[in-house]
Amino acid sequence: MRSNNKPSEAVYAALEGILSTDTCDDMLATIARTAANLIKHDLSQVDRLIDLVDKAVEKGEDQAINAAASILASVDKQMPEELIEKLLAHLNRVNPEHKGTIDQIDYAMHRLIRLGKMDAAINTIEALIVAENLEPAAFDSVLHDIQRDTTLLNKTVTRWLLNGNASLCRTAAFLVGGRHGANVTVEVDPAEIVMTDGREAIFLARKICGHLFMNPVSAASMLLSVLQQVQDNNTRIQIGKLILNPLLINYPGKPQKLINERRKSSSAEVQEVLRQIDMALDEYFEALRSIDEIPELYPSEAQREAYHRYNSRKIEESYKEAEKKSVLLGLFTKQTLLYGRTSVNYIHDGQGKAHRQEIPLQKHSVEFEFPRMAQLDPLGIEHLLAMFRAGRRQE
Amino acid sequence: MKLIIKEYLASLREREELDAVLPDLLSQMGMNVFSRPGRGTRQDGVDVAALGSIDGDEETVYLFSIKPGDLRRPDWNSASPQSLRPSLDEIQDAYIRNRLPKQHREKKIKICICVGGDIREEVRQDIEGYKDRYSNEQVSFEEWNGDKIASLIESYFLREELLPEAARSRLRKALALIDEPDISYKHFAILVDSILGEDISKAAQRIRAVRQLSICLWILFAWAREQSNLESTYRAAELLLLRLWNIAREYAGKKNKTAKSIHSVYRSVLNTYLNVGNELFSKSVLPHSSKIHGLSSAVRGSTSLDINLRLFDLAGRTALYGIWLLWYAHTFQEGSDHQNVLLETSSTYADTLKQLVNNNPILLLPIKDDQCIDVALGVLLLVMNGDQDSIEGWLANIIDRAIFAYRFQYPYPCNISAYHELLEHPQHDDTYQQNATVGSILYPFISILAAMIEAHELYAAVKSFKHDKLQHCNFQYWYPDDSSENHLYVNDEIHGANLSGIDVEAAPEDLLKQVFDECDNMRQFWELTAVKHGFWPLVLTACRHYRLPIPLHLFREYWTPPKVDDTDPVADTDAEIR
Repeated sequence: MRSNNKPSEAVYAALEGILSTDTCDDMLATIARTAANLIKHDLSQVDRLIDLVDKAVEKGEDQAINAAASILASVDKQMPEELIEKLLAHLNRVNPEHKGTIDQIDYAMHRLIRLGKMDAAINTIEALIVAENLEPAAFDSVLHDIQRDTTLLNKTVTRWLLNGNASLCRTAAFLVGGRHGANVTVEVDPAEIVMTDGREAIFLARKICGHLFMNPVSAASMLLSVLQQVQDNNTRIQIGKLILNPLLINYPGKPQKLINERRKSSSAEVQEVLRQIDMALDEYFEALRSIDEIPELYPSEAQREAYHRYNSRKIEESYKEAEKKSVLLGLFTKQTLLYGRTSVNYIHDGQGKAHRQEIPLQKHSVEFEFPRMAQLDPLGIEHLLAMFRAGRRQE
Repeated sequence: MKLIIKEYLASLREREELDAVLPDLLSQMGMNVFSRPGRGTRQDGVDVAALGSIDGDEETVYLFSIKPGDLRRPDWNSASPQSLRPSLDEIQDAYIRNRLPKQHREKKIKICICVGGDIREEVRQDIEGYKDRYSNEQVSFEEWNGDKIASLIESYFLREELLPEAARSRLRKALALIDEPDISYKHFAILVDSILGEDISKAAQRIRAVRQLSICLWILFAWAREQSNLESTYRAAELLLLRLWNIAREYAGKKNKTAKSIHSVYRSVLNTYLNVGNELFSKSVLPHSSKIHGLSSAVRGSTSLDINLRLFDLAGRTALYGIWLLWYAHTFQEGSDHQNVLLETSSTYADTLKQLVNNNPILLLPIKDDQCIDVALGVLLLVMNGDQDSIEGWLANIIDRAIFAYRFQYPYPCNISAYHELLEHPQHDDTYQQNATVGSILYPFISILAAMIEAHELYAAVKSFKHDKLQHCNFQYWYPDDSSENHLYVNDEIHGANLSGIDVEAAPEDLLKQVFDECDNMRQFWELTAVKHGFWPLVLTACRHYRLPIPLHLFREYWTPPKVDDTDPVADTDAEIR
């Protein structure tokens, strides 16, 4: 079929002519799109067309980059590897202000992952995130793909945390705590780290604490995974200290439960480190429990009331803010039910009949474990986490 | 009211606690108390001895043997040194023969069995038998139980004519609202105002007023202790120490009868303050300061702001109490057992303060600039204990955290004092940040201490913080001036002088010259009656209670060798500052 629509030589010559003389960004973008489109119709000129696309994008600016992104967004199995590679290479010139192009890139990477080209997609967004300091939300689709694939998630999170770049680490945190997979468990991908090097393991563990702290189950699972994979006892002790503080001392609930569930499958050395952690935690909490009430230290009633007023106002503000962003509230009318456990409505079918519908009301709740130091030493924990986040590899 | 007093008497736990009340009561009844409870044990069975007449009876010598709470069988006759019968024997065998002043030996003598509660039926027969056996023409026995003492206290201190209903009502409210310390304290403060605001121009009126307040504080203490909440009592005790000094200072250095009475009651209030402190700290601080996050968790606040406010307050109180103990130790004979015990206890408070800071990291950064007052009290206690390393460690942490918080917009020390505004602190705009840090005593204080202890890195850190971020902030400090003596103890007016523009960017020696030269210009500190008459920790108490910076004069004393100067106004004091 393709050969029937082969373009004539005059078309190629015209495209090459314009390419050599024209500097207009729009025109160069059009050449790139046209040339990429012609590949489907004339396999005999693939190399020539790829060259045309490559040069047009290279010569062009924002529009040409947008064209490259949109060509990639339609990637399929038939698209030549060479073209994909050349287009990917141009994407690092994207203007981060151009949300449309960024969205195209996001979609293109999503398509590449669907085609099994994980490395190409991840390398591309990794380079973009590092170079352009892009926020994770910019790559919503592709990050969602990563979240759905446990192996890919483990690999990406390990790799990006270990990279140490602040934007990559933030994106790694988004992956484990973003809306699609809050607090998911994560394992270290051993292919991404040399576990015989204790310094690397400790570096990774600190980044886990620094960046995944607000997702304590993710942090606990990953720290435990580091602990299980490290080779020497000294490093195990160092990782154990990080599991104890800042992790478990802040989150004695679910993260500890997860570690307890997984301890049996751990080696004797790891179990020993976990036992030491348990002892330290028991001692710490036992000391706290031993303190009777000291009413002299309680805040006054006036202070409690002032705080409740302040807190209610903050909750109301955040509720209104969340409402503004809600997709559902845009689609439906809001009705407030003052009484009852079910909602009774009559739906009119247009033929004079009203059908009774009774909808039982459901409870919705979100559980969130709050780090204890947010109250006991907020600045200390922020300082510690900032140190972990800013830490660089020891050479 | 009588029930309240009786309840209070019954709750007194130690013999010394009843000792503290009885002499004042007897004096108020017009009796001449010639033997008061001394430091240490009773004198041949007698705790208090007084001469006088009650209800128009013949002039009689009253010898009291005191027992707190109810009198039960084990308290009557056992091997315990507190047992009553051996004491009564001792009074007759030893006290009357050997210790009773000669001029009283021919007079009638009443040996009074004084109990805070009641004499239980189980010992009634024994006591009656003892009284029958040993009573004679000269010597007789009398029982003073809680009921009788309560009646006497009510008649002589708190009856309607002496304590108006409005004041009695304040006392009742202060007692009823002990679990709401702010309100309880407020009622007590109004009670103090109402009693001291009356016409007390005559000596007898003054003595009665200070005794009334002393008793009121004791009643509050006893009730608060029963309810396990000493918060309002601690604050009330500080307040009373200050307010009564405003009266006592006029009698300082005088030896007449009024002066003696006033001094005696004032000492009693001071003892109450020390008792309240001991009860509070031994329950809430000493056992828990070594536990990581222990006292922070015990605040049970809704926010870290609550923990910050409570713990800095606690650190200030702990330090101040340690300083009072150190001062108290020096009122005893040099090298005596009492002195050694108190010095050791004071040192324990210094250690406790260090543990408090080390185990509660919220103490590594004040949220309010005026929490420098609590930091300064802590530093002063550590200075007095010669612990420079701890001072440097604490202050270095404060400055590190302040720089971090200021840079990244976490709660940094600010000039805001209203709680509801602190909840909103910090807000993220430059104008707010500048307005919230218009002045500081904290940073210059840290610089001064850094210069004193030659902590060069610390000094440089404040210097560059000031240079880079705080050019808009007026680094300042407060000095007591001529007006301070009249207002320091009552806090009824603004007083003192403010040294502005303290130059922490200058060389350390120049900074010290700047602030210590001002100490020379402001020698009025040494003229404060509390300092002049040896009660210098009272100035610290006033600074803590009324939120004034701790005078640098005291720190300076520990920087340069003490001056040997015969004309030094402090030279005639009971206790030297060191």
